[in-house]
Amino acid sequence: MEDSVLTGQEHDPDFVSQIIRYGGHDVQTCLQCGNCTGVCPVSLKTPYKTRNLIKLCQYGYKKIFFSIPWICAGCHRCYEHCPADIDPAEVFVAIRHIQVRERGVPRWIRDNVGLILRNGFGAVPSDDIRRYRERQGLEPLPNTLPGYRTALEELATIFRRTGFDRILGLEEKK
Amino acid sequence: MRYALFSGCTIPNRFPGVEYATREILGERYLGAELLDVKEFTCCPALPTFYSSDRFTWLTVAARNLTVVQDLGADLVTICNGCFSSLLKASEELQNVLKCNMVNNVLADIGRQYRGRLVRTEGHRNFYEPVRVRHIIEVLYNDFGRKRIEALVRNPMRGVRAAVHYGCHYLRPTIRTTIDDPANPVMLDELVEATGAESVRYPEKLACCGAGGGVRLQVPRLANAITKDKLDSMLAAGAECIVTGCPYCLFQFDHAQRELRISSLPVLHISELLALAFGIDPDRLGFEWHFVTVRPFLKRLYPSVVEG
Amino acid sequence: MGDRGGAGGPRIGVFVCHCGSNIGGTVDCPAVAEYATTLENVVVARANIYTCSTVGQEEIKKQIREHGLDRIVVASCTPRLHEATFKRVGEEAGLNPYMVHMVNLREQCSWVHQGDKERATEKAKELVRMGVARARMLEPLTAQELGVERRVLVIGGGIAGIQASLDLAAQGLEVVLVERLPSIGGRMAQLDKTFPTGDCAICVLAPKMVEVLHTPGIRLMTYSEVREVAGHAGSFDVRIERKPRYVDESKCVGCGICAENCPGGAPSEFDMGIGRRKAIYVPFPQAAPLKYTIDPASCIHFKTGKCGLCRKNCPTGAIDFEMKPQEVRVRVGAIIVATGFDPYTPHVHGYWGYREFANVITALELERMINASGPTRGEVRRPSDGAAPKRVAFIQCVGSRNWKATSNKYCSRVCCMYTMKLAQLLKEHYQDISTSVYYIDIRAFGKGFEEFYHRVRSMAGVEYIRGRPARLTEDPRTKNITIRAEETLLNKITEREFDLVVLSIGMVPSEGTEALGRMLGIPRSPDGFFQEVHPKLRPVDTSRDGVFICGCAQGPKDIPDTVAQAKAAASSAAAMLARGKVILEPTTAEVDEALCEGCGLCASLCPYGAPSLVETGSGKKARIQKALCHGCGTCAAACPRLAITVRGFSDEQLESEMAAALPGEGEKVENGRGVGG
Repeated sequence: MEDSVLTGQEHDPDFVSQIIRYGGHDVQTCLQCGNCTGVCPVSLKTPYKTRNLIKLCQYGYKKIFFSIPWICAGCHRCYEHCPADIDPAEVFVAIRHIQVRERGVPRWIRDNVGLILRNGFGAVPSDDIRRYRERQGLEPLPNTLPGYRTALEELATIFRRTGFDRILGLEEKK
Repeated sequence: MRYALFSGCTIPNRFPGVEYATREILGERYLGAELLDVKEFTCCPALPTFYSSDRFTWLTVAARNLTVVQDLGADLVTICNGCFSSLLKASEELQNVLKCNMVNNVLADIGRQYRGRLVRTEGHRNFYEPVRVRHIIEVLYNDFGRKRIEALVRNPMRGVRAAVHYGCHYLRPTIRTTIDDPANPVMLDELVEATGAESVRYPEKLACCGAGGGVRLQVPRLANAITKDKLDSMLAAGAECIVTGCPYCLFQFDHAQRELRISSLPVLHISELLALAFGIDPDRLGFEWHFVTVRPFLKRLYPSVVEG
Repeated sequence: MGDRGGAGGPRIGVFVCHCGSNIGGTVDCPAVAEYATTLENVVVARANIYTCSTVGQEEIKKQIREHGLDRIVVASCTPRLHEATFKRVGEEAGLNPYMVHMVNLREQCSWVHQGDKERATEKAKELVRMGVARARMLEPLTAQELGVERRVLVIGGGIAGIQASLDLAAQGLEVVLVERLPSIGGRMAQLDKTFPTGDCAICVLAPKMVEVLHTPGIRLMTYSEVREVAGHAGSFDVRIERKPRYVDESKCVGCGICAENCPGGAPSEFDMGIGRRKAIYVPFPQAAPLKYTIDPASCIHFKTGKCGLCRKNCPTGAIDFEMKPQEVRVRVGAIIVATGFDPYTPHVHGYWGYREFANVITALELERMINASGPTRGEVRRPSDGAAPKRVAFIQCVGSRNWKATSNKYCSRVCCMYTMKLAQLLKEHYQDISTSVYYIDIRAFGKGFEEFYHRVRSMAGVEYIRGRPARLTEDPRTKNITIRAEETLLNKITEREFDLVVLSIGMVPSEGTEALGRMLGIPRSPDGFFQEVHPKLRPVDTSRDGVFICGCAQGPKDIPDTVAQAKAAASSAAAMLARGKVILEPTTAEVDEALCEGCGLCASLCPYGAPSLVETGSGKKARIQKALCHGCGTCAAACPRLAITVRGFSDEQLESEMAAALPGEGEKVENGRGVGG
């Protein structure tokens, strides 16, 4: 629920620097021209307007982002047109980093990463597709080869070393 | 020409025909390139999953893929916009010595180190350049050229009106992907026209397919609504098919049309279109995994071939 | 305070300035002054609240006289600000002005160390110690005076160049006005009306153009370009090329019979390519001088050797196909650069649909259309079908205020206002027209501008929409343009259809700015326009003495500001010439010919072309032309034989200053510059 009157209580003064820390652009230079909204595929179909979201970042209205779904398509058209040279898509990536750390990871990400840990890739072929590949003489998919275990172990090691396990909460499941 | 093909996840597992078509057209029978088979690749990794939750893990996993090819003396060629964007961005970020060292600290644990590709040696010093990450569209356009492709066309696509869809990660953000003009891209259009087809102008050409960034995974209805605008724009311009360089866009256009029960524009990857134009047997191209059937389109094009 | 001067040694006074709280707020100035008295040769030290004030200046003079000081150190602000002041003070008290040294406590200490008073004070003491060490080595120098040529070159015949020329001529100075195009008038001549008063641009400009023609002191050279500039302030040698008009100016009476009969033609540059002109033409009816010019690129005679109708028909026999470029050399005392701007060209295949959609035009194109003597005789017409538009959209900030690497970051300063003017003109011409202005911010800061904005906003059918358009699409049938934009104040995305879209384009430096800058040796700012020495206090001066800038050559501006700056440039040039002499700073490079081996490295590196190699009895030697030398020291630093010294910056002076910076004050840096050399 949005606050009807803002009193400054909801303002998080650290939000902008937190966004920069997680690799987002400095949103303070945004002119609020609205060009990003007009080219944003999501803004065209939903009540969420890119320009408005950047303004909320400027204000430090961090908590409101926890109620907004992760729906930036990452198409970067906003950046392409932005006269202030801000990349809102990268700002939203930074906000996702904050959300992952403060509010947890969406399930689909955890599932996807799990699949990648088991197969090396986020998809597995159906039997039909397996047969087609054989018929056409396509190379066998790497995850069907015995030697591929090493690659999977490497991935697991990387996740452990970068702390990705912890960020995603994969450790607890083990 | 020597390339290490990075086929990614969507193509081998959902549209294996694209992989087949790519290998065929690049291979010795047509363009005569040498394709290296690399078995140690993993997920590129996917931007919505990794890049959204931890940039450092994303960079490290991507760097690992780059270490796999750095000593092969070949450019890495992607046939998917997602793989292209993820790996290219990683290759550029790794030029930052600080980031590269941090990544290599982790890679050391798995016995790897990202250095890039060796370009020359002077005395005891080795000089490296970043691993070159390429996109199939741009490889076909720059390394082979429209003329060579035109010369290989056996079945000209005369009269076919195609809506070209580049896909976001091919064009943007421009700061790194400066391979084509983001406001007025030409490469895919020219490849399509090399087959004899016509690339139609439509206002939503630069728009997203709708699936990107996990939108399809999370809010499929939103994804389809975005796709519908784009399809409407294509249909209004009189398009008969869609040609793209990205399997995820292909998947979205294909699925959305079935789910929305609206148009029936066949969707082709550029490799598939070229394979057809070069005269490769359509029955071998795995079109059965396209949701919108390609058959009527093929029938018109080659009545004799598809008869059987 | 004892007299530490000693017999025969230098007698130094140190003056530490609080600069109000600028320095005093961070540095303990009395403590620094106290410390200064402990330094060798310092006879007296004082701390003042404002050393540059009359009181402060008098204090310096008093101390010089009382203590018989022979040199002083002023520890205050940057020498850029007050070196001249304190030199004059010293001179008035009987010192050689070059016996004054400044230590920069403000920019180099207090401003950068706010909040750390203790360490800032320590640093200030060190800086003063270094300054005193340098001061011990100072030597008197004498400035040289040169005569001046009482003639000014004005480059560019737009409103800025015209105004500057008229002002100079009014002061009795000779003027050479060079314009690259066939007529003077510049960009202002292309405008219909001017904001905010609505004056007809050509009606106020044309009388000034005519005045230029009739002022005896002004030598006008149109269709001419400056090719080379040599020399120095007071005496520049300029080479000008007069391009061939193929029409003898002395015979042409401007009757226009030639153009009536001319079968060749091209799009009119003056009308922004909307209308056409003949191959023999005057750019616009009020052109000054009213002399015809043949454009060989569109002339049938030049392309095929045939035709020649103009020659056949000219009643005065003015046509001369054999005309060749002519070279003119003039010597002038000062140069005013008034080369103006070019309108920004929106990317041809960019996001604005310019040159892609017929009904997307630029504001300057609209300006020509709405002008009664323009290509459409004052009627605004859609390029696609010639229909009168009913719904017009303006898009602001096109080519301005864009922080993308390849774009113009600056505000072009006129687009908000000319859009208001055009909206008003459209409304005056067509009652049933509606105008929508897509803007990000409105900048109406000039005199009468806000009032004008208010008036335009109050007009029925004029609407301001806050939002930068995202996308323009063309209806393939009607050729109407639909603009999609977020109307930010509504928080809604709208799609509105228009008959005509006008891009409010900004300004870019005029073509040739870079080359002219190189020729004159004057720098440009990051925006590409010429750089003034100080944005507030020396707005028309350049870093090259005797070269002044004005108008849009210096940066985007409107007509009132351009005229004001042109008058300022004229006045600055006249003031320099009125003195009848230029003073050459003595702090120039000197060659010790005994050491010089004539390698020529100095000549190849000098940005001002001051050194040259001359043949002497003992081989080639470098000579420095003092009038050209800026004392930058490049040659001295580069000279492999250490043969070059910049006066006022000798090795001894710099080395003693450095030595004082190091612990163990007073130790000499051995062979500081020539290590290993």
